[in-house]
Amino acid sequence: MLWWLAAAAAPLLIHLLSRRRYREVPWAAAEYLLAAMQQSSRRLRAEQWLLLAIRTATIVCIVIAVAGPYLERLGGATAAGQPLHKILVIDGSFSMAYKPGDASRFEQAKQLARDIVARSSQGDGFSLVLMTAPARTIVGSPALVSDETRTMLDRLKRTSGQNLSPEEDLKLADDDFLREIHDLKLPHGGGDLAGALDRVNEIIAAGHKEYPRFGAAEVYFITDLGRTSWDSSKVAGGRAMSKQLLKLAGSTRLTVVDVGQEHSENLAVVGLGSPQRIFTTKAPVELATQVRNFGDQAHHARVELSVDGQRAQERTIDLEPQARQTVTFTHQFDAPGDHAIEATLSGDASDSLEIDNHRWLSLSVKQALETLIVNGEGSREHARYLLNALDPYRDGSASLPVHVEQIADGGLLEVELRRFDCIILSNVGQFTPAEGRLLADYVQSGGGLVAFLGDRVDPQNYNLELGGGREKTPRLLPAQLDRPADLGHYSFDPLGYKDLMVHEFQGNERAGLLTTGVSRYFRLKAWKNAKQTPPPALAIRETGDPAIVGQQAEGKRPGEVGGRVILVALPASFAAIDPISKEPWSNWPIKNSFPPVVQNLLIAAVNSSIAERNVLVGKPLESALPKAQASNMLTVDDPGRGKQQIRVAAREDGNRWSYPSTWLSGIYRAQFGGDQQPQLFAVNVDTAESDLAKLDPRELPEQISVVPAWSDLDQRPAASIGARAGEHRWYLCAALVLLLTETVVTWWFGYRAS
Amino acid sequence: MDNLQKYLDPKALAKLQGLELRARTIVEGYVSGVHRSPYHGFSIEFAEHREYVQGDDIRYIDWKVFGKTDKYYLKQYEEETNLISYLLLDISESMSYQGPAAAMTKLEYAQCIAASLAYLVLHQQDSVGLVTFDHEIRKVVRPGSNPSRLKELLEVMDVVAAKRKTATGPIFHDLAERLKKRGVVVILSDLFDNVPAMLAGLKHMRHRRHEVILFHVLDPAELDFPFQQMTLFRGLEQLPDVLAEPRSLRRAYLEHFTRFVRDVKQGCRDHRIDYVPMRTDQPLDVALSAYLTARSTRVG
Repeated sequence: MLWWLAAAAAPLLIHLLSRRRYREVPWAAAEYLLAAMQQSSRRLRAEQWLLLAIRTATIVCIVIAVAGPYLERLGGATAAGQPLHKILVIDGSFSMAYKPGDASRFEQAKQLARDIVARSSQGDGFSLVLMTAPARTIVGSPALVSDETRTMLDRLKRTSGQNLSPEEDLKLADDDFLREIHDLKLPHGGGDLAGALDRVNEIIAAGHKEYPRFGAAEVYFITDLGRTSWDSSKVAGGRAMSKQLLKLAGSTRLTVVDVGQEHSENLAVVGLGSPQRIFTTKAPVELATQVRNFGDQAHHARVELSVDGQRAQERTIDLEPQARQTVTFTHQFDAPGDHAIEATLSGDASDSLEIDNHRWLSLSVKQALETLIVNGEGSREHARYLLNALDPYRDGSASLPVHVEQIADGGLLEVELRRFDCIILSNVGQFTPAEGRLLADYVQSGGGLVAFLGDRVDPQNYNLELGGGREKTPRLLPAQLDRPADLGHYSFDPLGYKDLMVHEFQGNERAGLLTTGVSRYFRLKAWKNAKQTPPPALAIRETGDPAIVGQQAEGKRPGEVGGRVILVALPASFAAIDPISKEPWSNWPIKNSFPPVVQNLLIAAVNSSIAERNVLVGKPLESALPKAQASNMLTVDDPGRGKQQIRVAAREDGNRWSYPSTWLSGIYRAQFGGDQQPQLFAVNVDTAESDLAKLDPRELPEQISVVPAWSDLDQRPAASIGARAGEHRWYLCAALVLLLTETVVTWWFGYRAS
Repeated sequence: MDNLQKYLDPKALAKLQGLELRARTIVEGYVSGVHRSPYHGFSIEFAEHREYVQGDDIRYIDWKVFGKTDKYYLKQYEEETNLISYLLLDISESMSYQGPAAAMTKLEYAQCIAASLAYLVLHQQDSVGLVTFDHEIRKVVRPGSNPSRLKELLEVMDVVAAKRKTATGPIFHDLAERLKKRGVVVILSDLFDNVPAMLAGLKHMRHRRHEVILFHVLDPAELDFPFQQMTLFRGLEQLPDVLAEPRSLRRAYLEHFTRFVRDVKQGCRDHRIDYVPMRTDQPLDVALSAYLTARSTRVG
């Protein structure tokens, strides 16, 4: 149709032709004609150019105006009549599970995607992106949909699915692209708009390169416009995202189909955890459930707690608008092992978003804390003070049940360290590089490490092997080892009993902490290039040197945290003797204050592994198996996808595995070997997405046309190209104005000339 | 006689062959229209009074005498034979133009006027001479009153237009010096020339006490510029060709042309020259009556 634009050259051609066709006459009064020409030539030229411009513009406007509806009928085909590459981006954030009616927003989005396919032209190609976090390309290379399928889809849409024969149904199901749309399942994560824009740009770039037959790209975002995904002021890297969006809107036709609703009520369980750090069968566990009302109305709801699939307790609560409330349950676990705890919110009909009404917690409940003492003092006798402090009855019947194993300082490499919740180094002299790496891996994986320092300790070796002195080894120690202090009379300074390890001595000055006699201790000093120096829990009063200092080690990856490493500047026995005075370094092991401090050290060092076993949707599940596990395959029972086989990577410290596809919330069970108890992992939604506040479409750049999906469906395609739908009318108006102008101008020029 | 009147129309006149025939037809036609004899009463020297008798033309009653004597007397004139008329005919190339609405070229039209005047003057026993010119004087016929001179005059004036420019200024100066006896100088030209120079020449003639009648012969197309479609105007008298859209130029052209005519007219008025605009689609009696009016004015 736009070939008619060539007609715009007609006025110029006519003008040129008219100059070739003329009559000839002899003329006597040529002198006056020449004078007239000279006088009028500039005016005439200007008039001719003006008329030429008006006439050309008139033709252009008429052609575009006439071609406009034709192009729209073709579904927005380009000027050259080429097919389009249509990229459908469906919002995959879990707020799309909101059900305003019979169908969720996500189901509605899928239907809209099919509608767009139905209304497309022959030869158009389709790509599909799911805007999850991270965004996923479902169909990258443009897929084609046959005319027959599109016709059937269109008919299906018009007749609400009542008028298709079984054969036609089969054909629809056979179409690859439609099947991809049909099979889309809504993950329980957030929406990564920046990532989705990246995927779209990649698809467009690849499309231009590999499929040049497509004229242009059209991008449709079908979304609820949740602020958590679309509000650049709330999203990390929002400014860059806005620029990216603007750039895309500038280079393609970008349409946002809005499936969101204003003022959506929603209740959510936003937290489930425990204030305790160690969970055993000996003591009841406190479980705190946080519930939040994201709506503008008060709600009455019921909170249920289930343990291992069995309903355990429930509570009824009233939630004010925008209020947050914590419901605490107490549960006594009977058996050790992994337990799945689920908090469920129910009882309010107006809550149309079900996904965030559940929250899970995986707890590893222990019979006893497994502790390894690495005795660097030779005789097992020297470790009895530690043993007495950790397991006074030798049967694990204390309120903090501890099972202790003891090895000599050369046996680290022969033990499976990951079995232990905590390793206590007692006056260990030095470590080999392999031992250093082993301990580093243990700590980085979440294990606790307590080091009692004494006369055998080689500070250079500690600083080298455990202090990050070797290349590619992490710094585990919270402070640098200096040297043993000179002989003297020292005592403890509890530093105001602020630290939990000594907090219980506050008001119990006679418990023996302050009367502990210290003649020598290991001086510790801050690392020179440390990011931050951890405050000591206990100090030496006379010198101010730290006596106990601890720090959370970094994890294996940036942002992850490892286990806690605690340095004690004193030995845990009397084996450390001053060579001159022949006196032990301290009398602390026989003081009353020693057992509670050691137990507190253990509690502080032990990581209950809650962080590893409880992740958000989209984060990978990772763990390690003991070396002894022979199987190199592991089965993960995924609540969405069923049982999945995972290959286990063999490493020197153990067999690590990872499962990245945590798209749904719920309990994931990792089973290795036939008889082993499965490891339980709780995967929960990021409740930032529970806030259903919606972006006002007017906040989006003007170049983006926003179409409300809840309007008449038949109006939608027209509205989706609304920004251009009115253009041809404007061109028609412009053509009429130009025609009128041409008439007036021609008359005026003629009137002036004659 | 009525039939002869139609020959005052150039269209009808163009059908007649021969300048003499045309001249005689014009004069006879003109005479039949005014119902009076051209051969009597138009001399310039007063002779005597005679008493009015029935049938006399009352225009020649001497009202002064009537006022004194209360009787009707007619003025009687003697025939004057020494009045000399000089016909100056422009035969430059521009005079060959004939527009779409005209029946003849400007030169043919001017020749008709000149011939008619010659015929008329010779029949009054006045002398008439002829000068043809373009950028210089081409032919000269000395004044004479013998009716047989008519043939000579007509032969000289019956030429085709020259391929030359007009140069009226120098020619008029030249003629002012050459025409020794004072008389009536009749100029027939389109005057497409330098107007101030031309007027200076005319002034010179007036200075030599010649009575000057200027017949400004123009084609209707030159006055109205009626062209519509794209036209290539081929310039006469060595002027360049002009390809133009006539409708867009009409206003400007008419401005320039009207200014030219106005300047000529104003110059004639300033020098007391009888200016007679002649359109070639106009009946030719206008020319004769203008001449005769001028003659009578002078005599009166």
